[in-house]
Amino acid sequence: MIDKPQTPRRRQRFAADRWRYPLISFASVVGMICLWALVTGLGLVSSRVLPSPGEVLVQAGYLIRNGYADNPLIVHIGWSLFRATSGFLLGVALAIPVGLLMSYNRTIGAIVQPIFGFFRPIPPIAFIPLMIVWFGIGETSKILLIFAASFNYTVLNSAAGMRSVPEQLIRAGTNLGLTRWQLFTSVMFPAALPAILTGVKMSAAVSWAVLVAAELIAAQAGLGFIITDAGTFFRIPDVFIGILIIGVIGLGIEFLISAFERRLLHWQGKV
Amino acid sequence: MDRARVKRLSRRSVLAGLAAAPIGLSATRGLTAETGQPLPVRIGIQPQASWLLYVARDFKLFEKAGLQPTYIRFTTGAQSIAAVESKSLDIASPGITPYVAGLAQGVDWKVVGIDATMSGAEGIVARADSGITKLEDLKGKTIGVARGSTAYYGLLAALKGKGISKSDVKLLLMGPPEQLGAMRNKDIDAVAVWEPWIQRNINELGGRLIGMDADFGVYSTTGVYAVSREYADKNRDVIERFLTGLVLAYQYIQKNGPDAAISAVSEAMNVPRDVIKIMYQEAPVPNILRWADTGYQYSLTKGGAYHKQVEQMTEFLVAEGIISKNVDLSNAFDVSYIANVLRKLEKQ
Amino acid sequence: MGTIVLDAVTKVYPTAESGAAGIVAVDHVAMTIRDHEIVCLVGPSGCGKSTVLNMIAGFESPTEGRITVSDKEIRGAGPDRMVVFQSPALFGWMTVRQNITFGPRKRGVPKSQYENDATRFINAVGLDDFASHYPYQLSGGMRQRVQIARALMNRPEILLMDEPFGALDFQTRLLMQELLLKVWSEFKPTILFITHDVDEAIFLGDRVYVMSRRPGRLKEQFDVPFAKPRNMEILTDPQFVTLKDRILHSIREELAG
Repeated sequence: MIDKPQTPRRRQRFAADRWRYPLISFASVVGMICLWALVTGLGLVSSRVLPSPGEVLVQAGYLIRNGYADNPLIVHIGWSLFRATSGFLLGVALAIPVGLLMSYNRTIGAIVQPIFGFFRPIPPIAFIPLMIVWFGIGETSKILLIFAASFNYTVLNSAAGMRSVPEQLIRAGTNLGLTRWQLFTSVMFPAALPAILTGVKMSAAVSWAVLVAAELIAAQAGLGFIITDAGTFFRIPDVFIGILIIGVIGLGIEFLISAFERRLLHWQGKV
Repeated sequence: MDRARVKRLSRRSVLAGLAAAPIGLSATRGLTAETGQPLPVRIGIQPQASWLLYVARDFKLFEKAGLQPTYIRFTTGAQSIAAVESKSLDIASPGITPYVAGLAQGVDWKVVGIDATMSGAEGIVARADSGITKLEDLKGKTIGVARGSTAYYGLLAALKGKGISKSDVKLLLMGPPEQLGAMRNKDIDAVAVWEPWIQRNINELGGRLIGMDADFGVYSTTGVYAVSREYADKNRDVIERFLTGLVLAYQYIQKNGPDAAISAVSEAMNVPRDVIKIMYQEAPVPNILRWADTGYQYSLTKGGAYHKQVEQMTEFLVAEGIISKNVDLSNAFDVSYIANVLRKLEKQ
Repeated sequence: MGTIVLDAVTKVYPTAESGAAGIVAVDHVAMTIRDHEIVCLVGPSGCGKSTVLNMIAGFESPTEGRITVSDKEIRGAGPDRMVVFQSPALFGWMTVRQNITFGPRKRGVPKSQYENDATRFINAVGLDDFASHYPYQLSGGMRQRVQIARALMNRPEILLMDEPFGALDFQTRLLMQELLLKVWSEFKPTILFITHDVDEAIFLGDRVYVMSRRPGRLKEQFDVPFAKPRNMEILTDPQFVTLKDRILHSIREELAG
């Protein structure tokens, strides 16, 4: 047999490469922290405007021991995770079928396209007063706000994924005698999956980001609550800590979803 | 002044008016005599009942006092803290709570004046069908309030006066717009809030006014004029000319009535005139001529009634964990500037 | 059984402007492909060869005329007429074996029935060691072999091949041609084979049709005088060369300029 599959790299180089880029990223983060410490240490910026890493660490310790606004830190984190996850999952669960259907059926696509397109550029914050009026100040309005943002991204990507399924693949499926339903579920859906998952990743990120806006709706606890409340009283270290926690958790979420994506889409090989 | 007008004005306004009347016209000339080159100044302005500031702005009284003012709009006091700290603002007009919060976070600034004395315009409104008619009825009820605000303090101070502690009520933390929605949906039984939200809760939802901060003995609900200590020490002229402008505004209101002030604030807050009119009656313009007078409710003198009230409020904020460390308020108020201005006034 | 008859088949594509005549891709093509025959279709680019194949496959329908298979008019696509596309059209998320067994699985054929067939066809195309690999791990030639195996799994009467080896390098192409002939000798499907490569057309085909440039008409037909089984030797046979010369001239006439 002449033709062979792609040859793997030599083992040595392969092993070193695996750790090279994560190491660079780690070094980058450490570098940023050092720069931060340097800037505050040299007094280049007022410490009220930019607290030093040390101050932030001390305040973080304080918050971990004493909580914020009569609630332990973990309770704040828990509420935020609950809201963001709920909104995210609901959004994605509805967006995938709607997105796929939009592309699959042109009539449905024509019906919903202008509605989605209209709402897309409007930032979630703008809807807060309406949300309060229609859904009150409880968890519903907050989760709905996050749901809307999450839905938006995944529906777009799912529709695009569906549209980009190669014609040949669909013809191959038809050729094999598949019914329309089988074609949709066994050919189009898996083929659109990479695009769908890209949308899901973006939805996860945006759900977490919109959280702070959602928690403006009379949240009694949460990371967004901490940031807004601390900001009102010019407690900059607390604002920093809130932002840091949000960032770290966001990073974690992205990492998890990427790992999940890699497992699910292993068949793409090195993309 | 005719009788009808006397009846409409509050007592304090009348007394102040009588005090100012003989000074009237001549003061204007005296105060502005030494201007020379107008000094530039950046003044923070917020949508609140800063009567004197708005009148001074609209009638160019700061210019008359020898300033070249630039006005910067802020929506919250917290923003003006950051602006002063970054030296992009000279004179801020935050509420007393953001002032103290800034102080607690190490912002080195002091109060040189007050405006918007809201103790009569901030209080508790109960839902019509909640069965609450007096303070004691709030026990066990759910109350919407903005955390750490002067209304928060006013509410808890009022309840404390009746032996009701924080754990005897359920507080739901939210801002005034959310409170309206929550009242409408019956998620809460009462709110602790400031004007014009009190009027809105009453007019739009048929709420019942239980009482204002002043009714419960709380007089710290004010706006202040705050400047960084460094700036104030280097720019005495600017501060004094600023306060002169406010004095001119006060005299203007005494002479011409509060209509101009009401119109200006109505536009700034985007609230109908008749609501602001009520607000003026509840929270009239402070008597700037008495700011150096130790006997005055809103005097800036160290150890005065106002100073004590603010100290109490600050202790409360520390106890609530809203302010992380105990602040030293002993030098927070600097009465020297207004004292100087008033002295020059008297010389006329 | 697997006789394909095209009766005055015409395909017109509407253009954007309303009222305009439209583009005639295929113009009154009449051809008969007999059972077990390998017929090759050559012609200039854009002459409508693929359109003819697509119509036989059932992906498109003729504007005029009829296409029948075994005397029955065709309706839509189906596994009786399996297509091998130029680009492998494999389902990337499935292994080689899963790709190949996809058709029967989806049609509800019990595993016991198709499992042996799968092994047989994987073996026939020489991919035994790669049955559990994913398409991304295979070379172009291997992917085409999977496609062929996938097509054969459905025991089609007819194989429609649209320039299947066009993207492969010369050596691989030779191997694939030999593979196809070997497979054909075993299972004897009727094959319509479209190609640009005249050598390939003569090597594989029992007959070669030459199509004119657009609007595509059948211009000429050539019989290939070599018996099957064939091997590489015929490529340099004088008869081969003569035939190639005639076909090339026929095509050359159709090229612009």
